[in-house]
Amino acid sequence: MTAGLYAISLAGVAMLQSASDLQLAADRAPAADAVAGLKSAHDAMEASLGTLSGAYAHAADGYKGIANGIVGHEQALAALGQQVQAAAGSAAALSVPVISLAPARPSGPASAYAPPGARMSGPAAAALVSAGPAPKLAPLPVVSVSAPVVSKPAVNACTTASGKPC
Amino acid sequence: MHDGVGQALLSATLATEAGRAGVSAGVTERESAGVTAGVPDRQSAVVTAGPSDGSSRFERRAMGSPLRLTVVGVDAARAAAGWADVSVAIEEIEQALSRFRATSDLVRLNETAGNSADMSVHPRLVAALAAAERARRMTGGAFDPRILRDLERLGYAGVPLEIVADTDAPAPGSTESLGVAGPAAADGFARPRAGAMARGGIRPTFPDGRWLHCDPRESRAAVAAPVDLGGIGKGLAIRWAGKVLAATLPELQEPGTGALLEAGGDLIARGDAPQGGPWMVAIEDPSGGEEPAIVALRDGAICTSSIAVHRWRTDDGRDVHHLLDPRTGEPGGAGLASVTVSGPDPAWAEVWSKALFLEGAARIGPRARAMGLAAWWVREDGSLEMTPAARQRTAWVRSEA
Repeated sequence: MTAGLYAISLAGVAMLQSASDLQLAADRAPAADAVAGLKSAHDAMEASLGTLSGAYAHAADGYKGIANGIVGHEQALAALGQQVQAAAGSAAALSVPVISLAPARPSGPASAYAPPGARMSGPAAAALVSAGPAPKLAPLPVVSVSAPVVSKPAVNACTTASGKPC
Repeated sequence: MHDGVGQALLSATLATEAGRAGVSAGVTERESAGVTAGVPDRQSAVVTAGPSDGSSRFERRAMGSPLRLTVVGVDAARAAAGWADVSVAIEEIEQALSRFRATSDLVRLNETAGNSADMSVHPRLVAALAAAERARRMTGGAFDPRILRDLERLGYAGVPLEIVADTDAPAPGSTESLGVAGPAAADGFARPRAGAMARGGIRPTFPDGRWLHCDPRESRAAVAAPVDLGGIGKGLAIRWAGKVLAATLPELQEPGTGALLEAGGDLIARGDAPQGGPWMVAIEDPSGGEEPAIVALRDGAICTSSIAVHRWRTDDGRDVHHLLDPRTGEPGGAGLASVTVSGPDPAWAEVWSKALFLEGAARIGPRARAMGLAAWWVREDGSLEMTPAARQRTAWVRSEA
């Protein structure tokens, strides 16, 4: 009788314990899910950071390349500037008089481009004469205007602070 | 990208001013000339209808400068009705915001400056003060309405005497009572008024650190220092009047119609010009020569800060102008003669034109480009420069003609 009572109570306790464990597991389930979700999000974020870090490194490399290119261009520009200065100095040292050119014309013989009254003198003219007949010049290209000439539009109002009409 | 930033800066509006301060546009009587019967005689309009191009034109004086309206593609009687409502709105706004009317809400508020007890004022004034505070914050203090004492210290006239005579202020000649600079000297500069203050750039606040206390719902406000709304006041007036016009003339939404509302060089445009296509707005050469550029404007605003008109000489012989840097209390914009800004909203175009002007010739370019603003500026030597965003809106340039 006692043993039977003990067995029954033991079975009851075991049943209660089992129910409690099940309840505990059920209670923990949402938290576990949340933790798993957080872990997943963290992993995703870590992966994104890795990707971003790679992209940043790539961009930094690109920027470094561009910067190097700019430095190279600046050096080339500096060298070109020196050459221009040297050429300008040489041109200034020449004893050829400055000749103002007439406006370019689209057609006609080359001689027509010579400005009326333009004359050369000095050592340069002598050198030109001694060199024989002038070489035949290629016709000058037609000069086209890069942008159409826009006439001044009619004005409707003016930003005059005094309010006076334009 | 910069263009977008600029548009956002220019179209920024104040939440507290939206939907408030409605104009009581209850026009019951309209004269054929387009002026409401309630508008004083001194502001009667000049109507110059343009039969040749099918437009209707109206003009009167307001806010110290000519107020003009051109309406295109709308029946003349309807256009006159729109002008009447605009006149009523401008009159109401001027009565609220002008510091040259002894009875205006702003003058009454300035008389109580420093007193933290707020007072009841017109909703338009509350909205304008709130907009001015936002402009102060957005410009980092380059715009600040608390410059009135500095303007008076330097002897600022405010508006030419002939214009002051249009208001309720004393008659021309009584400059002392107006705070108007003295009679113009032979060299074209006016003399400062007496009683100049010694120091500038001081910006009083209430003990809580704010200069403005306002309750938009109750339409009450208190200011820590006298306020001059100046350019932003005119910009807001044009903005509000433009909304009134759009409400009165909904046909302006239709193709082939248009309207241009301008006040002293600040303007808003919508739709087509009389000649078709966008409105052509010339940028003034402050030295009086041919306009350096013409801007094509279809829907938007153009405002200018210029020292072409308001310049004078102080007692100590300095040539000064009215565009003061609030941070120093002294005239700013070294090397510049004028700055023009275009954008969707006239009030913010005004604010940024002044803020850019104060940058001076040395810094305005990078600043304007960085903000993505469509800005044109004329240097003291008469040369014109502009931002890439401005270039897109420029129809003609003198130096390229």
